[in-house]
Amino acid sequence: MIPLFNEGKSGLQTIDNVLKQKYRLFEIIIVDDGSTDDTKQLVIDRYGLTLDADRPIRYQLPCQEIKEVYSGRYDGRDFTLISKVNGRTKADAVNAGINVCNFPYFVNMDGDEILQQDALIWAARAIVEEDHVIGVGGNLRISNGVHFKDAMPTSFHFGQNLLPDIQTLEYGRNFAGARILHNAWNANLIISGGYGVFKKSAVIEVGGFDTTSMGEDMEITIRLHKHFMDKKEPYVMKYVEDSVCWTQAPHTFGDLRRQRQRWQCGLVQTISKYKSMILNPKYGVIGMFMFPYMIMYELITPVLMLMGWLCIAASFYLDVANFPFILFLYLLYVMFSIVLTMLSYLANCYRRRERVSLFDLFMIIGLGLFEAFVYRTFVAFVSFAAFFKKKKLKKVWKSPTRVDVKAD
Amino acid sequence: MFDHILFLYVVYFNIFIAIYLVIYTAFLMINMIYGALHILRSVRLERLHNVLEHDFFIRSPS
Repeated sequence: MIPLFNEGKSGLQTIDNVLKQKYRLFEIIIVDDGSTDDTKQLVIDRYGLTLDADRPIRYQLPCQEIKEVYSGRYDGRDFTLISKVNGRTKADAVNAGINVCNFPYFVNMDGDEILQQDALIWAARAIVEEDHVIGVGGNLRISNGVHFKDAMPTSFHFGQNLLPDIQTLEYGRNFAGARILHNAWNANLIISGGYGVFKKSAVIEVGGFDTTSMGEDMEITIRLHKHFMDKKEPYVMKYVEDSVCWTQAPHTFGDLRRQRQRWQCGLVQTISKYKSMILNPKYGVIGMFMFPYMIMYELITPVLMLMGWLCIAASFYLDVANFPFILFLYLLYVMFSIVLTMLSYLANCYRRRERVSLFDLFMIIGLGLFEAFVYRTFVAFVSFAAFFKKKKLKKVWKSPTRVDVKAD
Repeated sequence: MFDHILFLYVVYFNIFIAIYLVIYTAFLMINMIYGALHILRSVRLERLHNVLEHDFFIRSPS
């Protein structure tokens, strides 16, 4: 399911790459969420779709009005394009897509991504391997600077763009580090909005994606956890690191600021919505550990970081600061962070048999230094600011500036 | 008075952040070690799978 809003060009590239999947049993649903450009026409022309006036739609989930449905067949795949009134959120577009979806599972992705050729095979394998799988989260990697051929990465080197390079390391660390262990406890609190597979009936059962949430991916994941735990029904939400989807990272500080502030607001919204789960033994590991962990180590991190800077300033003012010790501790933290980053990056490369050059290793050290000194401080500041401008950040589906993905 | 409050802030914040970081670092290490072992295990399993598959096709009478 590919929701598009004024993303014709990148959307076509995304769809073309989905067609290269090794897994063959799927249909493609494109949701044009009231684009004001030629997105709809581009899709119709490219895949030879025709107006399907008689197509019945069962509105199982609330969404803005679906105006037209187009359908057709291209490269052996069934295509459905729905043109709807703009719902201002991706959640609304996904809900509309679910209403016309024919398969028991659907893939939720963005219109600027490259789904790796074997991504759906890995996801499908995870679904058939175990009973009661209601969601599969994939490994989201950064596509900026990566060269693709037949929806497979062929080459990547650091040093092409600073911000996406740092986010490549950041994503790798987060996905390789945290999610694998959380997966072992069936306690992943987020199936990324960028790429995730959901069981349609489960999503319909909980009422679909929340159109008012700024972090609709985390919200639906936690809602599914809560729903099935309340009903005491068995369920599994998996993270499959081999199921890879490549996404574009913000490459300007402005786009990065907007993205992180949206994430922070989504986090605040979701935690306050599900505060009854916090330290509630009824919700097992999720209530007793994952929620407190998320509050302590994600939600309040920007606050603590700023309090830390304030503490250093105060200790200098009071003349109680031990400058060599502060410096030593800070350098230790930077080194520790670089070692972790390098380990997770190398582990990822080893898993996929990717080559790592000596240049890349030096770049990781340089990027790690920049990340520790500048990037994290920037992210902490903008995330902290998000606490105060929640209303201004009212969710609007606005795509960040795109760059062309290099694909043959 | 202001200096006194500031001093208390510095002391208590340092104690809090020390405990916070110890727990965080420990958990991060557990995460990373588990993640790395998991990745190593999947690579080994995949290789084993490839070997078995190869053996099967080579030795299969059909």
